[in-house]
Amino acid sequence: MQLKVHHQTQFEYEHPVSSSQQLLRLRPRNCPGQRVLSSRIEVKPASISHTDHNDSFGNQVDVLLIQANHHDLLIESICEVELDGRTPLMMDLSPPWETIAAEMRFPTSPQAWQASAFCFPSKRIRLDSAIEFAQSIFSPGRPLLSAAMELTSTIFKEFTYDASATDVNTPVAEIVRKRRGVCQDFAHLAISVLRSFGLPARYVSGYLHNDPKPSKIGLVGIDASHAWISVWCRDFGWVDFDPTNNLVPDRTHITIGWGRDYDDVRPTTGFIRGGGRQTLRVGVAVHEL
Amino acid sequence: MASVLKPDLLDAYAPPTTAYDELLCAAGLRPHWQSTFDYLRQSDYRPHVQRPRSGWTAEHTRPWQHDPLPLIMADDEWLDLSAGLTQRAKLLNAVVADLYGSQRLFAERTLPPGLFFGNPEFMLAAQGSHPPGGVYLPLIAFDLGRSPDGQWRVLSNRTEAPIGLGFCLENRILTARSMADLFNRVVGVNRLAGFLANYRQALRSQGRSARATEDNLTVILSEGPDGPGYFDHAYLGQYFGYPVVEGADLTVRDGSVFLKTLEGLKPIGVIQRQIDSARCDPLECDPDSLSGTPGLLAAARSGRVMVANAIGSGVIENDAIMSFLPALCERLLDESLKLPSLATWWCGQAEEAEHVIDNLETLVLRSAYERKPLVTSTVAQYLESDSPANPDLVDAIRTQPYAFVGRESIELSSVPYLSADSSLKAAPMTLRVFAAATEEGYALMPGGLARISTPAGDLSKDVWVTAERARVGSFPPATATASNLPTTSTLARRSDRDLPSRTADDLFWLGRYLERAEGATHVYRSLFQFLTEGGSTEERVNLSILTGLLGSLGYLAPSRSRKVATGGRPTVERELFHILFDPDGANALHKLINHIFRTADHVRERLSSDAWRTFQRLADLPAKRPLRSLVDAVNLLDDILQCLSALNGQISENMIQSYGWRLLDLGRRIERGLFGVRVMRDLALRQDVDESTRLDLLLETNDSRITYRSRYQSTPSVTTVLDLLMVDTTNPRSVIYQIERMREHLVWMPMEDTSRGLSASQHAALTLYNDLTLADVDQLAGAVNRQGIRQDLRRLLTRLETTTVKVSELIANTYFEHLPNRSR
Repeated sequence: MQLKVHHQTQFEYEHPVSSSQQLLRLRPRNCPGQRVLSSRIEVKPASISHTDHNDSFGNQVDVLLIQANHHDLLIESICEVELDGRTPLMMDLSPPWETIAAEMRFPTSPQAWQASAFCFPSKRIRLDSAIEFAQSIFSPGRPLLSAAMELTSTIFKEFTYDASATDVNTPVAEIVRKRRGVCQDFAHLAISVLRSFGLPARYVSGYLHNDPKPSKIGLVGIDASHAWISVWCRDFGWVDFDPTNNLVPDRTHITIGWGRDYDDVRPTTGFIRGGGRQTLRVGVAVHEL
Repeated sequence: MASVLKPDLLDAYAPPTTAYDELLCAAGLRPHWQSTFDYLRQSDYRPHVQRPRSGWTAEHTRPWQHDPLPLIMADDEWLDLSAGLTQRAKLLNAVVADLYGSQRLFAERTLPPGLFFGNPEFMLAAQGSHPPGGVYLPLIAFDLGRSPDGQWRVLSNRTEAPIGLGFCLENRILTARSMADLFNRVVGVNRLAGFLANYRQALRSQGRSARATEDNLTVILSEGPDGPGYFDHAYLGQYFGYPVVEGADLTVRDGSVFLKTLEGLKPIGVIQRQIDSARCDPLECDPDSLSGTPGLLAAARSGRVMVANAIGSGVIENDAIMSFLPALCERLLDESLKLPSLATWWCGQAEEAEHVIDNLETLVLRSAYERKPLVTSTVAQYLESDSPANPDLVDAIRTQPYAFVGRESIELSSVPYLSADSSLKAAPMTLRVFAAATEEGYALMPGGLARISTPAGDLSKDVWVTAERARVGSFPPATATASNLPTTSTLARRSDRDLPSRTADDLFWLGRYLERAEGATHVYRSLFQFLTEGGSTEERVNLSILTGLLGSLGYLAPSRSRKVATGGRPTVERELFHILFDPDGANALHKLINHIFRTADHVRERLSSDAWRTFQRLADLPAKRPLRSLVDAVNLLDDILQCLSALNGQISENMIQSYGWRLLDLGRRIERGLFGVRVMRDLALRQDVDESTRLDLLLETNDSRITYRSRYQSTPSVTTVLDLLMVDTTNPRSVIYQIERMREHLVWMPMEDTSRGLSASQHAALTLYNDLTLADVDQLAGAVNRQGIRQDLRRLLTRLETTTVKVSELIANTYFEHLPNRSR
């Protein structure tokens, strides 16, 4: 399936901005099940310097310098990707979660030590805040993937999607207390739980395609950036789970990139001179080619 | 404090019997101390404890006081240390190169990934960095301690942003000065200059390969005068002639780093990083940080600038790595590690964790990743003995084992120091030494910083490595030339072409504050002098004129100014302090003095030590002098004036006459012109019976009374006073004199768009000049309206003030425009 994404980010500033440096993570990356057919970034006002590189996770990064007085900044990312369907997962056949946790402490394969980078606290992930909430899910010997699926369902059932309850800086402990949040919060929560058990979990940022199939209509996260998680499970590799929609993504999720938490994959990081108060508007349109 | 050492030097010297003593062995003095003690015994040595020149307050500028007695190290022992530490430096560099490069050490299981991925100092964004020559760590500091068996052990590796070279240099200068004979003739001490020259040379060539051009700068990236390391940075900056800059002084364009200077952007080849990695780049290092230079990390990664040390180097500055060094050394260098570390057990491994839990009584438990603060007393932390084993700790270790490390404790060696009663006492010691990457590999500086913990606080000592035997091995040759030697009593002699815009801004404002304070001092002195001599019927008139002037210039808050005018002399005597240093005055004198000191602190590496001392004296005056009577006040004001004029001399005599000096003088001239105009508006506009009193004050506050007398030999008239203070080009206090100086400076300033003839600021200054030269003084004095106001004069003064303020703004816009606005 081929999809086209049009992602607009618009900043409006109270006072003119004379100089603006922006670091963007807006281009989807190639990864298993996803091929990028084309991608481009356009900004207004035009940049005088534009470089790109891959970060240490392999995500695509664009760095822009704009030096013209402006009151608003428009960043557009336009891309086309092709998604493959994924073969059904035999979750019950995955190894017990303790096996993976033990392997993370003393990794033996290159894949394992690479995954172990995602087992530790990070800037937005603390390990003690969430573990109580999921103690019963990680019963002894439970296959890792089925535990991860139950964690996904539990968050979906027990937490209410509520954009007004949290903001980008809400800590996980507060999400647990309020039982409310958005996709980013649910992803951070799930990651906190998994890492508290010593398991490798990463934060994935991307877009959601509203699959035309009737059963999937009404997925939450359309028209905006989306976030979900990925769990490493030895031979299964990295397996994605979407706690906001209680599912394992299958031709519905376009991956921009991943990291330890939101901070590693912020869509835009800016450093501006001037500006005063700013308002941000984001629009995402995904449609099938 | 000067005193004579007692003949029996060692009477009071009682080192603990369980520790190794640096001075004594069973047979008496260790041989390498012999010549020093012979000298001290024979020479009637008078130790002169010099206060460091930076000692404004010890907390602010300098964490350790200085002990005049050096630590003497025998050169054969030093060679062993040198071999061990240069090997270790090479090893640490190779480890960092792997961590930010191929990460082979994880793949081969030499290192457990948990040691790094859980470490917040591991800067993932720095991966893929390739500094020129593969040198990630151009400078490394080591803290050493000697255990009772005489074996040196490495207590910590300082890789992030090693600090202390400046302190070493200062200690060397202080010690070599107070023990000149001993230093030069008796012991024969290895000099530091050769090492520093080689270090600088190596950085220079790395900068060349980063930029592929000769035309590039080396800068010291500092967190500025408010940071704990600023003394060190300023000292090194002065020594090497490198600008000391902050993140906002730099900009990244097309992947290269530039310094914003008065002449535009200058490419940078090497950044000596003295700030934390996390604060280097708000785009990549820490998106929540507002400090740093956006894009710096990308520039460093691409190798187009050499960041020394590489961003993220702090990843191995912890105790956890220590236990892995022997294996790493075998793996990376194919050698065994020559110099042991203090033994550590990283709890990220099962067996080690159990060992630590079982031995909590004897081991010191520490955070596995914690970096020590840049400036810290390392002695004390090795003296703390046992940590109680409590169940919470065991729990914490079991929950996040990788976050803990157990470390053996050490009884540090003892060393003599000069105590307050002039006897020698023993104190435990750590030793900080420095290894630098030179073109022939790593070299250890033959010297260092010994730090001791005494009941009276921490002290630091110079370290003398004897040069009695031939220099061999890795001692760098002493290639020091005159230009390598520190210039402690002169200003850094370098061109101002690399003057950072921020420094330019500071110099300009330093000039303005100095002059503003001088104006305030003159007015206050007139007031107090008048009150001490006065008592006539004119008192009330005079008082209200002076307080009105103090109020309108902002030295006194308007309410207090009215209160003093009505309350008269008793009020002044009662509230002396608050009148002189009005907490509510917008331009109150103490605020001005604080501004002066703070601004001077910002540009300290450009000031001579004499000038800096005068700044310190000025800052201390208000608090140090008694202020009980009017006479005290006059004396204090005289002292302040004396400091200010000394600074005038020290700055204009010693500063190269380039952009920095011109901006400072421009600031002065603008402020003095404004002062003259404002005082005239207060005192010369009104024609009435008190006019002669006011004219007298006008001359007095403009410091022109004597000039007037010698020139006119008559009682002041409005015409002659205006002539002298406004349009007399030979009077250095006249307004036109200030404008002429401004115009001279502006011609020489760079970067102005002069394609259309005059620049904007030159144009404004010319307007000022024309207004004044065309002014008819008789007309100005005579044109009085019905309210008794000299209206032509008022119009002219208003125009002069507005235009002068405009010149100041134009200068700021032209030269400091790319700086964030700072309120003044």
